[in-house]
Formats: sequence, structure tokens, C-alpha cells
Amino acid sequence: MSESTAGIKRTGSREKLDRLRANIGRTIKGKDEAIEQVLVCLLAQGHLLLEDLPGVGKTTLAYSLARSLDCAFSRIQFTSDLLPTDVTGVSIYDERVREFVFKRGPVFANIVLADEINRATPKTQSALLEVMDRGKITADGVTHESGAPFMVFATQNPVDYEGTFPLPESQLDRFLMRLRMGYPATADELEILRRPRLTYDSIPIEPVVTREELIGLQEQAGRVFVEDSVLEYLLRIVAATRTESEFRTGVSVRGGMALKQAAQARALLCGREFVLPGDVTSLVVPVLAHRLALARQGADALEERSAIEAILRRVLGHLPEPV
Amino acid sequence: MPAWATRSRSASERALTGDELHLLRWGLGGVLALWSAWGVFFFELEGALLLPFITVAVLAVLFRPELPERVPAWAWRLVVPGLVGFVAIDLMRGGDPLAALVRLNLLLIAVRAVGSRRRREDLQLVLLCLFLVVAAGVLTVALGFVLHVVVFAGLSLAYLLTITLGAAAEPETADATGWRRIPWRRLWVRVRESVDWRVVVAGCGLYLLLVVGATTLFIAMPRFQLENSLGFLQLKNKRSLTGFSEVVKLGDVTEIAQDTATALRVELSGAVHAPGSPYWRMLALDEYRDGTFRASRGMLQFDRRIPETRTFVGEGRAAPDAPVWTFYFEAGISRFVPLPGEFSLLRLREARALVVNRRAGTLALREEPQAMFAYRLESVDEAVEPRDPPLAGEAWRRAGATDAVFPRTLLGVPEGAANAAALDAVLAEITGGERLPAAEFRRRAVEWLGRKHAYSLSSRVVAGTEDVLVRWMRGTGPGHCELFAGSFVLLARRAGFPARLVVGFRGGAWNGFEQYYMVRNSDAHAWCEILGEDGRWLRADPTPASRASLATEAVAPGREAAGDRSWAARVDALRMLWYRRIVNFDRGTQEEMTAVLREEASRQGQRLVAAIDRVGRAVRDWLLSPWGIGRLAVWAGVGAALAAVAWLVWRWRLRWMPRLRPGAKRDPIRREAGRWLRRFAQTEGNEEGDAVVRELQRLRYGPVEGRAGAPQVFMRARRAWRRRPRGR
Repeated sequence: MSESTAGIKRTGSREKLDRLRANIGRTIKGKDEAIEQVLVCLLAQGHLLLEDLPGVGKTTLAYSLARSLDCAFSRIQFTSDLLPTDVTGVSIYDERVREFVFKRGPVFANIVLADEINRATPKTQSALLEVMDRGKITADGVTHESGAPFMVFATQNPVDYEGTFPLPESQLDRFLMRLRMGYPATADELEILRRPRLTYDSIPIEPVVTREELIGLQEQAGRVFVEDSVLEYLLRIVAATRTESEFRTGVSVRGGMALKQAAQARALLCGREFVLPGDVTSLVVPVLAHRLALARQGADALEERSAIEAILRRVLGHLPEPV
Repeated sequence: MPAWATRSRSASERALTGDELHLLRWGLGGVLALWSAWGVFFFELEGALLLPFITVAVLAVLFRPELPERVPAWAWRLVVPGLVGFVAIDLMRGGDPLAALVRLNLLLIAVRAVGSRRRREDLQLVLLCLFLVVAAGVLTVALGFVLHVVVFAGLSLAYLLTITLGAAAEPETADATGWRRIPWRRLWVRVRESVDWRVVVAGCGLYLLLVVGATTLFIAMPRFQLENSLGFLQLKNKRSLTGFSEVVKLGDVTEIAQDTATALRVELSGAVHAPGSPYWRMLALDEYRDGTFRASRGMLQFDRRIPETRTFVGEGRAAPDAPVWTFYFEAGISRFVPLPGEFSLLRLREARALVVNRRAGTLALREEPQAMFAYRLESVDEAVEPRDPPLAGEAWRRAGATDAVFPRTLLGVPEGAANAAALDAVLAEITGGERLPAAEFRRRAVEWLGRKHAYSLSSRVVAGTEDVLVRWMRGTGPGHCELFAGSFVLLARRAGFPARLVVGFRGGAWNGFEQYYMVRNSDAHAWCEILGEDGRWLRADPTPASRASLATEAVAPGREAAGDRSWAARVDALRMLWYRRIVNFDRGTQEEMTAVLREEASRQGQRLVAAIDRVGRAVRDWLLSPWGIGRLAVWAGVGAALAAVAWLVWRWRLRWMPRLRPGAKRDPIRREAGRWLRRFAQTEGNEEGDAVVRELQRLRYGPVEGRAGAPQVFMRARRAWRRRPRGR
């Protein structure tokens, strides 16, 4: 590919991503950073775990993203009586053709909102493992392709533990990022209050990026160049989590790869065809924090997560960026 | 348990951790302690068991650092009382207090090296080691000390650096507790990984600076005699050998000759004039009794004491072109100075009190030197034999040969009729009853002894009641040089010639590497002198020529190829170099070297000025010569071509250099871009700067293919840097 063609392509992708960002920003006020990280996750073909208190806009963000893309969207409300087949689908006997026919579940979509994922039993949660990892579902010995692109957008409440099942480490490792929305700023909240109350379905938002365009952007993100010294820096961060005595275990190889993919996606989002060390640094906490556990148990989940993030920032402080 | 023991570590994590630094500190401390402790090899100490004990103990804790933990606490508490007791017993034994001090130092080093150490104990260890190394070096002035101190300096610098780095890295973790086994190989790999070559170069530079600084100080500092200033410098060198005193029993010289250590080194200013097999005369002994030659009390009355002096005038005639002989005499051999013959002037390296005996023709120091002793002889004439005209008269002989008062001791023979009869019988064989001149008697007696006896270090003497020398002459068994010389003395005396035994060295090996005589203890020799009619002492060496083959064969200087070129000679040459350039570097040499340096600098300066002048003239002549169109065109063309090549190289350097040296770290574009990014990171942002930074980021972190126009980017960076907003 010639340099000028690449430049034109870069410019085009920048425009699309800016359009997408602006579209979501019209609905989600004052959460530019969260929107950017959601887009990073989308471009890196990862899955997102959105963790915060109820009513801060988690579901709205997921809806906004899904509606901004010309893609199939489905929502699964996770409850304790939800069965795996309610997620993946089930084979039922069709009298007309006299055989079992696979009835696809809500997971067969491009953007799947798994609302309050920790309310489902581990058995149901693990039904998502295969599809999140491979983008495929195997039922009755037959493998079915999920949609492409495919992104699980899970939400959970970290405070309310009554009747919940914490996600196992293997499940957490499959989420590229974990985000927290946080409360909006006062000015942004005032603007939200001024607006008329709308249901999710009546949010006035139009798709700005087609499914094919999104796939093209994701492929482009995978081709973003990562220079050796940046890779070494990334590896130093991963290695530091493995030697840090306050962590029970370090980050897995999958975690390191996730950090690289996320950094590539962020670079593309910023309009670059190469990764800066700053891309890696800014994504360390959202990409790695949920993959780590403290050697000593914290008083509660929130405190533990804060402690992990603080340790990660301290570790980062000891590792100079390559220049 | 340290983190490295349980967790795997990425190779890319280069910096040494606090634990690794402390491991390194532990290892370096042990090595430093061992290296310093081995310095006691330079001393003659009764501490043979201490060194193996320390070596084993330190090596054990180097490889098993947990061992000190196994020692119960009460045992550690006993260390101090134990040391006090050891020193008390050591001192009560009545030995040398300095030797006791050195032994105590050794034990303290051992305790510090094997016990757990924090920063304070580390510094104590360095100080203890320093004391031992300095003492060893100053006391012995040995060649090995150079190596010892150079390695010690490097080790202690590295050790101190590691202590500082370790304390900065993890001030709380400071001892070996918890270490089970140190993975030295892994640690070595980690050290190699983490050490930046720039740090190594800087360290080596610093070390070199230290050595150069010390050498400059050595050259520049005023000279003074350290060994005279400090009383504790009287400890003996281990290699010291004693011998050659005023009393020599038969066999004493031969015993010294068993040793092959170098006793004397002699440097000649005009080597071509030197003799092939010189005699280094030290002592003349006149009185003989029961197998022992000694300087008689009467002869010792002629001793003249000279207060401390640096020069002594001899009896020889000054000859301006005569060679100057410089002697380096090892400590502990003797206080008598080896002399090759008559000389006009003796110069000493430092002022010494002397004892001169003109009747014996000997020169001695008042006290035996404890360190290497150097002196110079001018206008040496080794062919001239000592003269003693007062002895040439016959009057003193009539008083009786057995009177033990000098000079009649020169005629003393063993008493008893049997001895006299035996000697007379031998004399009858030698002289045939004639009265011979001294020179002729010398020839015949030497010949007779050589014919009847062979040379051997182990002698065989027949049984009997006569004197041992008489019995040996009666027999036909072999003998050593003292038996030959002693027998000759008795025969000469019985024949009426005053004679005396002379001891010293004979011959020596010519060292072709540093051009000097190496005289070893194995060259120790006894010969004799017989008084001639004219009052001259004729040298007589009755020991057969076979003697020479057992000692070092003397080689005439100037034939370096035939000299001693063995490895031992190489090592000895190094020692000589040490003596010449370092130990014997007195004020005169200092001034001489300064003068030489000044002269050389001046000469080189003049040459440089002359060269610049020459080039200037050539350029001026060239410019002044007529400039035609053709000449102008040629030079303009050459200039343009050079400029074009330079421009091309500059323009394309960033493109071809990465191909020559691939790899991110050496990639000049990435390096240059990184340098600019670091600079811009410290400035406030502005529009132009931000745009340049984006381009620099592309060069630094972007793919190689998309970085055309790098020189232009750097140019823009330079411009933006000049225009950057500056803080008020």
C-alpha cells in the first residue's frame, strides 16, 4: 500500500471514529473518557465489563453504542433463574420438518448487552465463555457462528452482593477491559436533567457506522505498528505485575496481548498508525486491573479494586516510558 | 524468601533489584576479604593456620550464606572475648607485637566476612582490609604488591559502589538472613544484563583516573623515607635469608647456596665493560679455629664508624667514562655490602651509618637493612686487588704465628704436632721444599687441591684427631668451596704467606630482559686472598671449575641472547623494573624524569611549531603562485565535488545508517527522534512544538517504511526548539 493511500485511509477512519464518538457523546454527557475506552474496546474486538452503581448510564451507553452502529443488538437481563440455553439458544423439535431445529438465543447479535451479569449462576455465566473467546457457540455437537463483529457489553453492580455470583477469573480474563462510569459532573448532570425523560428505544440516535466499516476499522487497528521498545515496555509492565509481592498472581499472557490490542486501537482512535508508550500507560488500569487479585484480601470489593489500581499506578511510576 | 527465588523474572527487566544488589555486595565483600587476607603471604608470620581457616570460612559462606545463621547466638557473643583472649595470649608469647596485630586484623576480617553485614559492618570490612593491604605493601615493597593493591583498589571501589546502590535500592534489607544458596551464575547473567556499557566505561575511566592520579602524586610528591619514619615498618619480609656474618662455620656458605632466591641485582651503565664472572666480595675473615673462620678482635679494631652519610669515597681513581654499577641488595642477606673491586665513590639511596674496615677491605652498614637496599659505585675497577702495604713488612711475623692478635691471626694454623706434620707433608708435595713467590705458590696450591679433590656440595672427611680441614686434605674425598678455600688458607699460612678467607658471591646470570646481573643465593661462594710481596692481596679461588656448573653460569653482558631468558628471569626482570622505577625513584630520579619530560615536551612543541610554520609557508606559497583559469577551474571542481559528496552523505546518512546497523537501540533516526522528544518533554507546548512532536513521535515509534523526510523533521525540530516559549 502506498503512503498516500494509507494516509487517505487513515483520514477516513479518523472521520468515522469521530462521527461515532460524537454520536454517542450526544446521549452520554461528560463521559468522553468512558466513551473513548468503549470505542477502544470495540476496535480491539474485545468485550467490556462495565462496573458501577445502578443508574449512572451503563445501559444507556451500551444502547448508544449499539444504535450508533448499523449492527444487530440484543439485551439479556441476567437473573438467577436464567438458563444457559436462554443465552445461547436451544434445539427444539419441529413437527413440520420432523427434526430438531436450533433456535438461536440472544447471543447471536453483534452487540450483546449482558445486563447485571453477576446475577446469573456460574453455569449460565460460563455459557458465554466460548462465544466470548471464539465467537462461536456449540450446541448439540453443532458449531454456530455468532455475529461479526461481536462484542459483549456486560454490566454489574460491585456493591450489591445479595444474590449475586462473582465472575470467575477465567471469565474475567476474557473481558478486554473493565470500566467504571462514575457520576457525571454537575454541569453535565444539569443538562441531563433538563432533557425530557426517554426510554431506551426512543433515544433519538441514528447509525453512523456500518457493520462493514466497523470490521474494516477493527482490521485496521490490528495493523497499527508497535515498535520494539514499546513492546518491551509493555512486557516490563506485565513482568512487574508478576514480581510484585502484593499481587497474588501476575497478568496472564492473554492479558499482555489484550494490552497490546487495546493500545493499537487507542492509537487508531487518535489517528496514528503507531502506538505511543502513552497509549500503553493510559490503558494499563482498565485492561489489567480486573485480571489481578491482591495477595491479602481487602475489606470489600471496592476497596480491593482501588488498592489494585493504586499498586498498578505505583508500579507504572517505577517504569519509565521508552523515549 | 526474596522475590527472585519464587517468581520468574523477565529478561527485559534489566535493573538489578535490591536483593540482587545485596547478593552482589555479599559476594564482593567475601572476595575482598579473601584477597586482602592473602596479602599475608608477603609477611613472615606465625599464622600458617589462620589463612586456610579464613579462606575456607569465607568460601563456605560465599556459597552457603545461611551457615552463619546456624551458629548459635551464644557463640557469636563469645567472639569478642575470644578475640581479646587470642590477642592477650599472642602478646604474652613475647612475639613481635606488629605480627600479633596483623594476626588480630586477619581474625577481625574473618569475623566481618562471615557474619551478617549491614552498611556499617561493610565499611569496617573495607577499612580492615585496607590496613592489611597497606601494611603488606609498605613493609615489603614487593613486586606482587603492585598487583595486590591494583586489584584491591578495583574490588573495593566496586564494593563501595554496590554498598551505596544497595542502600539506595532497599535500605531495610541488608543482611544474608533468609538466603539459602546464592545462584552465582544467574547473578552474573543478571549483572551483565543490567550493567550499561556506559557505566562500565565510566567506572573504568574513574579507576584509570585513580591510578593515573596516584602515579602523578607519586612522581610529584616530595621524597621521604617511609621506613625510617614509621617504627612498625620493621617486620621482616618472608623471603629474607640471613647469613654472611663475621663468623662463618665451614658449611655455612654452602647452606646459603642451597637457596635459589635472588640476593643481588646489579645494573651496569656501560654493560660492555663488565666482567664475565665477577666476584662480589663481602667479608674477609682472618682468624681460624676449630672449623670456624671469624673476623678477629684485632682486625675488628680497625673498624671505622662513619655517621649517616649518602656518599663514601673509595680508594679507586675516578675515571669519568668508567661504568657506574647500581646494586639492589635484598633485605636480610647481610649488613656487609658486596663490592666487585676498588671504586672511587659510593652513593647510597638514603643516608646510612657505615662501618669501614680498610685492613679487611670491607664495607658494612651499621644495621642490617630491613628492606631492599640500593647503592651505586662509580669508577669500579674489579681487576685491582686490595692493597695493604703495612702488612708487607716482615717485622710482625716474628712475634709468633699463634698469637691471636691481628695481623698475626693471618698466619694462624691449627695447633698440635699432628696438624703441623700433615700440613708440612702437603706443603712438601706442593713446593718441593722451595721458598716460592706468593703468586707461584697460589698457582701450585690451587692446582694441587684441584687435582686431589673434586667439588661437591656434600663433603667427605676422613676420621682422625686433627683439624677438620687437615683431615679433609689428608683424604681424597670431595668438598665444597669452604673446604677448598679454608685448606688453601692453612697451607698458605703454613708456608709463611698471610692469607684470609673471603666470602661473598661469585658470578651471576645476565638478565637479557632488563639488562642486569642477577646474583642468587646459590652463587654464594668462599675463596681466599694471599698477601703478595708488594702488599697486594692476591685472589685465590681453589674451588675447581666444576663449582661453576652448579651455580648460575655467568654470562658476559652484551650477549643478551646467551643470557638467562627463562620465565624466572622474566619475573625477576619485572622485580628489577619495580626497583628501578618505583622503589629507587628518589629525588634525583624525580628531577631527572621531570627534566626529561620537560625537555621532551619542549622538543615536541618546537617540532609542532616548525610543522605549522612549514605548512603555513607552503599554503602561502601556494596561494601566492599565479592563478590561471585552468587552476581555478580545477580547484573549484575539486571543492564542488567534495561539497557534493559531503552533502550526499549528510542527506542520506539517516537512510543508510539503519541498514548498516539494524535494531531499534542503534537506529540513529529513532535515537535522534528520542533525543528531541526528551528535550521537548521539558518545555511548554505550543502549536509549532506540538506539530513537531507528532512528527518526531512518528519517527521514534512509527514503522521504518513511513519515515521519509526525517532530516527535514529534525530541522523543523531544531527551529521549533529555538523558538520555544521560555519560562520567565
